[in-house]
Amino acid sequence: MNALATELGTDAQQWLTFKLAGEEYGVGILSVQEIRGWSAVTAIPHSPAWLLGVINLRGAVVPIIDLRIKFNFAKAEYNEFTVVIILNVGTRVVGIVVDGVSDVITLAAEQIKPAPSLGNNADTSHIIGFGTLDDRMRILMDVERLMASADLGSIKSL
Amino acid sequence: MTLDLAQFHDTFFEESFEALDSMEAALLKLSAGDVDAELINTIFRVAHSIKGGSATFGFTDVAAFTHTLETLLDQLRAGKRQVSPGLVDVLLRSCDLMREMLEATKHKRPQDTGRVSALHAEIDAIMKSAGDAAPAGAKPAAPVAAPARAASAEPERSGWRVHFVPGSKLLRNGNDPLRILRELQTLGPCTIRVDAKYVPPLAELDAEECRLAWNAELSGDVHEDQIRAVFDWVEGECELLLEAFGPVAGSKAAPTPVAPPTTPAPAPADVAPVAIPSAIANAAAAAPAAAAAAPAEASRATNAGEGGSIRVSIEKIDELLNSVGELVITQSVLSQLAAPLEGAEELRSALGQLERHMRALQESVMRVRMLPISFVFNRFPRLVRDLGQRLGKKIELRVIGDQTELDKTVLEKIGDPLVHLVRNSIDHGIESPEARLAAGKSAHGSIELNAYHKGGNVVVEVSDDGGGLKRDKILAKARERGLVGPDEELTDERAYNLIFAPGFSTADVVSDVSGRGVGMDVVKRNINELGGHVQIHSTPGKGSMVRIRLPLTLAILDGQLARVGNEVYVVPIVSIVETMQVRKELVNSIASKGEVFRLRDEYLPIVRLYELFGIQPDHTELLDGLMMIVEADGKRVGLFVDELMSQQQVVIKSLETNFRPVTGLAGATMLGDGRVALILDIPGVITRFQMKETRRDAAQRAA
Amino acid sequence: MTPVVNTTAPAAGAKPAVGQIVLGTACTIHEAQALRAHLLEKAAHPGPYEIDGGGVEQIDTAGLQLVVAFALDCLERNVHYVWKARSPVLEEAIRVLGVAPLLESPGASMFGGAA
Repeated sequence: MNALATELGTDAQQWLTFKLAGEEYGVGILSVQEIRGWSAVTAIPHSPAWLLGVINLRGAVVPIIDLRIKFNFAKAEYNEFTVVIILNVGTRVVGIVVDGVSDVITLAAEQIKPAPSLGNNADTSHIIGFGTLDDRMRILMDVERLMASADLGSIKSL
Repeated sequence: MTLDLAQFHDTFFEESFEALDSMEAALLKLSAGDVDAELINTIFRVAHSIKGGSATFGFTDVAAFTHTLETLLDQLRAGKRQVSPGLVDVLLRSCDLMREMLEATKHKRPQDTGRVSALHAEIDAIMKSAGDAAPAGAKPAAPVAAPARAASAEPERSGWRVHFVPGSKLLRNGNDPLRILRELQTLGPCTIRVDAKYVPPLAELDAEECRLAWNAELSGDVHEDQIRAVFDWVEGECELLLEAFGPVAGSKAAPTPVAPPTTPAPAPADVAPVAIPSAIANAAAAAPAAAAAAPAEASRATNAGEGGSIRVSIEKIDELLNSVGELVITQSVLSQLAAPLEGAEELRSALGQLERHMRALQESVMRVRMLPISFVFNRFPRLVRDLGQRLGKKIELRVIGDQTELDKTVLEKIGDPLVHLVRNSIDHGIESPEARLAAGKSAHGSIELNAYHKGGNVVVEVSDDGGGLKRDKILAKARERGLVGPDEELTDERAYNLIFAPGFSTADVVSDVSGRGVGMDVVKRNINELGGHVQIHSTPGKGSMVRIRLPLTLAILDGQLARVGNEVYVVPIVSIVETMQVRKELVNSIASKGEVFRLRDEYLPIVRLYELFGIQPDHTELLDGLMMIVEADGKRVGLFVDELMSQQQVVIKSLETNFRPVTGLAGATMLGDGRVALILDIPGVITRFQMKETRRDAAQRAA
Repeated sequence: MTPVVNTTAPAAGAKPAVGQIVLGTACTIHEAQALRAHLLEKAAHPGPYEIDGGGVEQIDTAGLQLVVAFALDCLERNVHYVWKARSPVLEEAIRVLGVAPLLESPGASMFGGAA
């Protein structure tokens, strides 16, 4: 509980929530750079299926990740509702494909339950906790860990 | 507060290094006989401002030394002392020392107090001595080496203690302490004491690593520079400490002008009689203007304050370049949109003008980052002279096109490879004077550095008129290493370029001189990393030439767009040999090599890009698509693509900023329609292809 | 200039207990691995040793360092060795590198004709 409080600060924090395969998720609002509609992506050869490719974001080459594929959810569709959230952490910019964006909510520390430690499962290391508001639970994600778990920049692909 | 100060530190260091460059340039002009009050003023101002700055920032050791120097310079300025070769030499050494002191201060390393006090003492001694030494001889444009030391009257022994600890790579890099110490001993009476305490038992000793160290005592009238020159070759590869002893510094400063054999610019290395301990090439032509030590990023002014220049951070320039790149893309989109419009002549013509303006703008901005290659070429006169002397060879250096400009980043990285190549020419290319005479050549060998622009690239050539490459030895070695099949025949060109293969020791194959060549494969790798290409041409008995092609800038590339299915790739034009339609008779299937394409008398592997990249192509039938022959590292393959599109200059965007490096891709770029196109890295593509083939072969065999 | 370390067997009439080590014509870094292996091989047999450097025509620091290491090992193991001969090239290298004191023959008096 303490760790969570330090992470989030004692003040309430704002989260951008979005839908992913029927579940609701949230990321810290400070890491969100912008939200875009779906646009054509240039595929990078020999990359994992969840790395769709890169796009041109005002001159920057930004990789686009499909979390629905990465987390093995139901089939991913790309239609007029598909949205890409551009996240910015440190110097790195990454886009994630989601099923739709919901509201920005404010959660106080008490409204967040830390994620149970499910061992060192890489698939869940990016979950900070669960935030409940209006009887709906959102799974809160740590964007930095998300990017790290996407193996971006750590391994030279071959 | 501390943060603010540090910001100023950087500027102070940058400016000081530049100022020292201009001081050095002025000193060289002085030593060439051009005694001009304005030069002396420049020199004085440099010392003065560095003194002031360092005092302000609390760099007391720099301030103290510079203060002494300033006092001496003031004497010069006031006419109380004449310029003499000896004086210029001391000033040049002071300049070097100040550079080092600033470097040490900048990187928070301890100062070499021994050297500082030694030089300080020298300067003190000069100032105490009578003001009139004879003026420097007015030899037009002839660098005057500093005089022989006056025979000092001291009965006490003085000299230098030299502590020399070779680094772990020293032997492997072809250097030999035996040679070095032998040369050291020619400087004067010398006692050598070996330190073997780090030599492990034979069973644990790495045969190619030197674990011996030496302490030598060199007596007599020897200049520190002469000693350092002996170790020039291994500068970065060993620990070298010099300590003067005895009454030393004071007496050594008494200048007596002497005229050593004059050498015409740019300093061919006459083998001066070793007996005269002439102080070294601080006074020789073209002191190395430190390319790494902050060339001005704005205009080309080599003297601070001359012609008005401003300092611009490289990030700002990159931003500017980026924005201009975007503008070019947008402008091309506009042109594309306007092309099919009816009755839009005026629009199209205006857009045409816009395009011309854009190109001009782009070129101007690129020029801002460009600097003349002279920054790099300048270190060679001294290098050639020293090395030639050391190896007993007479070498003349010609430098052509040193105002050829290239991008700052390319400039910074091209220096080392060039040094390697020149060293190789001198060590292995040029024969000894006797051998040359016996072969009917002039005793003087020559090396030429030539730089010019051609077709959007910078070309740098290093040529020598030495013995050339020994083709048979190279082939034999290559066969030994398995690089070439036992029956494979190679063209001369392919054979010579084998010396760039990893692990190739050039010494065995280039000449009979024992010793190992510096890794040509490292040279090639460095150049490839810059996006360039290197090739060697040779004529036995006549000489060799290494030609390096570099992109004008790292940021922009001339590319050929090629389409495979829905994807558009950019192939660097510099890698393309030719593109052709596939004819049935040119395609073969060879059991061990898979599909091959016959290009005249060569059989090249066919790389189906769509297979390699996992794309859905338009054509899988070779006859329906195009074969693009590309080359990298001397290897050629045929890339099978659907269609060729336009050729254009593209701005290279790194994949690493937000993603990671991918083998086979050199980066990405934005097309006119805003889409991202991947830029192919041909060596990487070939590697990928070979790995795939190897895996497939293994799988087939296992099946 | 074939880089070969001679491994000639002791000539007839040589003292049977002495391990003979003959340094080849070339003892440079190119031959260093082979020379090291050769010296180690010889060192595996008990001493004393007789080192013949009379045929050395080319030598560099790497080569000489191996000989020095061998000599130091002998010193440590308290095994004797003598120099049968040293070519002028070898002598010069020893002088330049200042390793003469390290290569003095301990126990020279036990054999005749040590260099």
